[in-house]
Amino acid sequence: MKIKQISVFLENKKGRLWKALNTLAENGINIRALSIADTSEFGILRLIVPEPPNG
Amino acid sequence: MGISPEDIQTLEDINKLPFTTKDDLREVYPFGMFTVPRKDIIEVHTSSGTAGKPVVSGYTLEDIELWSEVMARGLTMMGITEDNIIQNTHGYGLFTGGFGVHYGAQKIGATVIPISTGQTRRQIEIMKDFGTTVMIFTPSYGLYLSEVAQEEGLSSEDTDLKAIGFGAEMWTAQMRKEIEKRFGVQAFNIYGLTEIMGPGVAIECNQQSGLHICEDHFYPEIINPQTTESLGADKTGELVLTTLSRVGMPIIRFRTKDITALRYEPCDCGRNMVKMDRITGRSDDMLKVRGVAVFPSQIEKALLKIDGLQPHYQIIVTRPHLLDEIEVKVETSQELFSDEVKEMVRIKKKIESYIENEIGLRVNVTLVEPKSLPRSEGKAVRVIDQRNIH
Ligand SMILES: [Zn+2]
Repeated sequence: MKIKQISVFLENKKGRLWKALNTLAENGINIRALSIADTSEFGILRLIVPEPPNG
Repeated sequence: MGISPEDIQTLEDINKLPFTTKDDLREVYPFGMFTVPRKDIIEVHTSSGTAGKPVVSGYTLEDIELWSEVMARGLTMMGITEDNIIQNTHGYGLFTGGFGVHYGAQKIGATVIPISTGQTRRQIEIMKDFGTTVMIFTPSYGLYLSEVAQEEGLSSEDTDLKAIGFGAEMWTAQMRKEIEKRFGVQAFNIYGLTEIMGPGVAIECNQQSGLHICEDHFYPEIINPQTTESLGADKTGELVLTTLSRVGMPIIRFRTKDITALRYEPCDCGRNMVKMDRITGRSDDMLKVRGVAVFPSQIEKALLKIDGLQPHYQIIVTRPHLLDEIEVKVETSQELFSDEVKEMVRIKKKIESYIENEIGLRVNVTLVEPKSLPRSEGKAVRVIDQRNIH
């Protein structure tokens, strides 16, 4: 199976990470691995997800 | 007042007359400034009453004719003729923007689509289906419209647009460039204010280097906003306007609070009416931060110098201890984004140094998520002053 890396800019605020992960969950996308690099103001969320078969 | 009509012999004698302020006009709310019986007033408009009562402007039949004439001249200056289809996104109502443009467009015989502000997706659909050739919008609504158009997959090649008229809001040269790039046509500035008439007081010609004031109907002066001393040509200060031909509500020496300069040298378009620079600030929205005068337009100018940055920002002024601090929230964008924290910190620092160069003060930039700042469909709220010192 092909995999894809997604990087997302997130403000370092309550609920932002949940919102990003929830969006993936709602769309049936599983996460293989994730890492977060952050500063006090913002973070960058990197995700490894399997690429959907059609795209 | 101690002035009689004989005291007014030359143009300079206007200095003997007092100024009219917005507060003066508010005091006589609603109809106190009308100089004709109320039954001769055929239409009223009001300024946006953000603080207190609005100013009511009353128009006789002659005044509406005059308004149509100056706005028609302006549209003609922009190169618009009876062959055009004008989509007027300015609000129709008490605001003068919608009706002013409408009257001028009808006077030149163009086709007007009186769509008003809002219903952005419908705007785009109509632009495409009706073959709109001229869009009229505020700069911030124009930028918003272009974003939605992009989401809808509409590119500038899919439209018949020939020109854009924009006004009712302050803008920067870079903001115009951005609008012109996104729509693929030239954009011309329209200036006006309810107290004097509405849009059409001054409009830009094809040279795009200032707005010709309809001097035969509005007499312009520039004053120092602090001392009210008259300044000459080419000096930047507050614009003061006197109506020369208005019947229902003539106004003498109205202090517009708009910061500009008057240019009397001949224009390459061939018109000989005086030009004013685009408005670079408001004498009352000037922020005093640590004693330094800061205009939101300066911050916008700095932001637009950075490639890939969208001009969506918010300025927040606080006084956490004894010193004022400025925070500028700036939206990140696809083009600006890097998945390296180090790189994003570098971008943030770059924006801070660009702004510092422009205003001479250190600011703290906070990057926020794309499309997270409020979008306005009218005038944008860009400054939040939390100091409570007013
Ligand atoms: Zn000209």
